[in-house]
Amino acid sequence: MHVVGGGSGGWSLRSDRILEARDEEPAASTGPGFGVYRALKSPRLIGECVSLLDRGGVAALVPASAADGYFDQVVRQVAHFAESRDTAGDTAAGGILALPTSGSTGSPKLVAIPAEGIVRFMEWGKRYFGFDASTVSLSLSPWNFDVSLLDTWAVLAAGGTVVAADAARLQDTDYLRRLVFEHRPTFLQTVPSTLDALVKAIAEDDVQESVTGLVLTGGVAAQVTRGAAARRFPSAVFYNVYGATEVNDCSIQELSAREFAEADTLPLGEPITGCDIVLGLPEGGHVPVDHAGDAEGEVLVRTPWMALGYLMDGALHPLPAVEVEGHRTLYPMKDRVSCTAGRLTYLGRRDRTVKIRGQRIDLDEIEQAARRTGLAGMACAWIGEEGSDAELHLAYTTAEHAPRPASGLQVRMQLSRLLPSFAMPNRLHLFDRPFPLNGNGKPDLPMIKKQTEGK
Amino acid sequence: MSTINEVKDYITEKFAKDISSEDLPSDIDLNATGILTSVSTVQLLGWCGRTYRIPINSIPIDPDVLKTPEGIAKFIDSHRVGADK
Repeated sequence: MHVVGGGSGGWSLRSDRILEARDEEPAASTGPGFGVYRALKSPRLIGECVSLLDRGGVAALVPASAADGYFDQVVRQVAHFAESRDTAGDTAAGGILALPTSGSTGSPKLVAIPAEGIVRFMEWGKRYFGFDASTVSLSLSPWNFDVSLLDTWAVLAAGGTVVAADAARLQDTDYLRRLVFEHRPTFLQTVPSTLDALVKAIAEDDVQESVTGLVLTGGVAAQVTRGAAARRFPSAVFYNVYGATEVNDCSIQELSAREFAEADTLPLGEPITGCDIVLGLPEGGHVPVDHAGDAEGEVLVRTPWMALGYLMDGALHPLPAVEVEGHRTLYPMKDRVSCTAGRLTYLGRRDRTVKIRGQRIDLDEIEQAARRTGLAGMACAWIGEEGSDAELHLAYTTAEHAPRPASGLQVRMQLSRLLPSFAMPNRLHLFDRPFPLNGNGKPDLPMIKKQTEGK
Repeated sequence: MSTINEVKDYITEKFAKDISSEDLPSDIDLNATGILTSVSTVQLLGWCGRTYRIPINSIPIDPDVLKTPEGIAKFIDSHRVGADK
């Protein structure tokens, strides 16, 4: 099998190097030049996607658990796009991998990633992480999530082996422990929720020397969880990677086990080679990160593997773009960062800064503060309307290895040392189980809110 | 039931369902811990007025007094109708 494009003449992805996968035909709807698949971790899924991309078609992956209505909407959109592409002839040529950006309950919004971009990304991944035939990657996230382009596609392209963990069974500690002990992975890529599941599954003294690289992406992990991971994987080099489905990875920070465990906040690092990162300054104007010195601003990005746009309503819609002099158009990440000597540190989401009772607060900072107390594992903050008043809610899970769940009173007391009173959550919700996750393996906020209603 | 226990019951039932009335310290800073906001403090004052017949619109109120359950209980006991002045 080959993916077309790129200067290398294509890459071979061997699906016989996928272990623990389900030998099932993924539920699919296919037509001329397209295929829409539920992202069941089956070798056939990879095979069919690569084959479609090879032929210049469109392969769309939706969460395995997506509702039938959602799946049907994606099929209609992709079929319509494939048909119009066939007749117009001038829309983006070449294969397209379409990945959803929202969970399975909202309207489908598919990010259209060109095959040649995937090839360039795989080349970078192989080179940067040194993937080869000896690499064993434990793929923890669903395959409709863009992180699989690194931990599955790039590893297979390098001749490595992928252990396909069933994303629906990650809270089953026996299952996850067996995968780690049986296959001795050398490479792991986690989002905060999967890192949490990993350290829960592996006992403190079951040190896994086989792991030489661990990538954290897709959010902020609690320091206690990072510390637990560093003790379990002492031989690993740790990486904090920053990006979005639209641009894939754009910056990276390499860390020792000690740095990974002890850092208060993990830096986002420096731009990946070939990626253009520019700061939009609060006072106006733009500055490239490598010339920014000490500054704060919003992140604008262009990567060699960025998406062509969104597949919506049967057409390709361009990504949001900001014109910056001296650069090609850049994608606004809507994240605020600080920059010190070319290194970025995450400050928060622009669209997560909200006003409550006349004060501006950042929901990301509140979640980070909850994790910094050491009492919360994962944290999720939102504003809710209660009658005429707006209230700040915080849902949290129990911290890793806490002897017992922290009470609301304990969390409030600790948080009050870190946050001003106007930024203090008013309603606290303890989850005695992991947060429900969306199709991308991130906390599913609508579901979390629903589960706290009426409590 | 003593006034402070009534205050704690009201606060935990209305504004801090994550804390039991027995666990709420008498000297906890209700503003710093997010239990009371400017809006809920007004609601609390309304409850004091209705429950203890305190003429809240005609007496000076020091917001600092309402920061803790014990401060609120003292405020109630010193202004409730029939209280010794």
